[in-house]
Amino acid sequence: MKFVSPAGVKKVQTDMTPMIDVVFQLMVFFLFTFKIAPVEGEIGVNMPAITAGSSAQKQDVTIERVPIKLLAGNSGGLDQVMLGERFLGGGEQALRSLSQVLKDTYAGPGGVVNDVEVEVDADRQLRYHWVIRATNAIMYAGIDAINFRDPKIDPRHK
Amino acid sequence: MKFDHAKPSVIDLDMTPMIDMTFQLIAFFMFTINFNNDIVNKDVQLPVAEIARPVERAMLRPLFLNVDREGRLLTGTDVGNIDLRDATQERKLIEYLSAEKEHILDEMYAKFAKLDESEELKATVVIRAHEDAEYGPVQDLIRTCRVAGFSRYSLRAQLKQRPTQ
Repeated sequence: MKFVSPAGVKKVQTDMTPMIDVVFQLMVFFLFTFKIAPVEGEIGVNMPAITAGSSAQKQDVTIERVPIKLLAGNSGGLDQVMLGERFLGGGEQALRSLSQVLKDTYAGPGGVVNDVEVEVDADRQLRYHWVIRATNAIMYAGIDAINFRDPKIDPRHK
Repeated sequence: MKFDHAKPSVIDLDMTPMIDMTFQLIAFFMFTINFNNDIVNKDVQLPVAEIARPVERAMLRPLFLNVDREGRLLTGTDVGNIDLRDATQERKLIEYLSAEKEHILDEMYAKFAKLDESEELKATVVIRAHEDAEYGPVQDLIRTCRVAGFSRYSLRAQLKQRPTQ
């Protein structure tokens, strides 16, 4: 029987080239597909499903409903904000006023607003970001119950 | 004068640090790669809302609806884009939403084994509309979703602060 003496063991040289090739290919792929996505947030809204006969929805009489109208101007800008019958002006300044008026009128101790639901009625031509900004202003006043009025479902006023 | 005529020895480069670094980079890219490109359309520039909540993980598969600047619903499927301003495409939208609803209901059956018929459709509709899109088409889309039986909506927005002008 033949034994190999320890002195006969040679150093094994592994060829790293294919591995490095593959690794660099992967690097290039990931580098080209890499995109920093902006952080997204959400505004949760519950709107009941429309079924046959749902137009006569039960409404909680203990909740005060506050109508807010967002009127569009030229090129879809926010021309006018109406809180009930009150005009608050247009643009970003009007949204700040809206937030302040809602807070002053409905916020209880600690800024908590209870039993108030805001119904937003926005013009169809209004840019979407104004609707989101208005929602932002309403939520900033401490009101989470927001409903978006759809004139085709609920043609009450207008 | 004496010259050294010894044969030059093979230079052994130590590749370990480079391979370490490269694997670190690959691991980083692998963890940050986004496979949701088909449902989260990057061309849709979301509006900014400072008060929006961080996105919660939905119990069921959410239904992503991307609306571009021109008011088109980008389905990302074979159905193609649906122009929400075009009344003639309403049927196409209803069919698309009905098909999505069926998929979600199948998922609900599979997950909960039994589904109470009176139970509402638990899926959340995620509205990702371009900030400069008109509100009208988005309103029509939400109404059609409500007719299809959806009642939970998540309006997506960017969380970052808008730079002061």
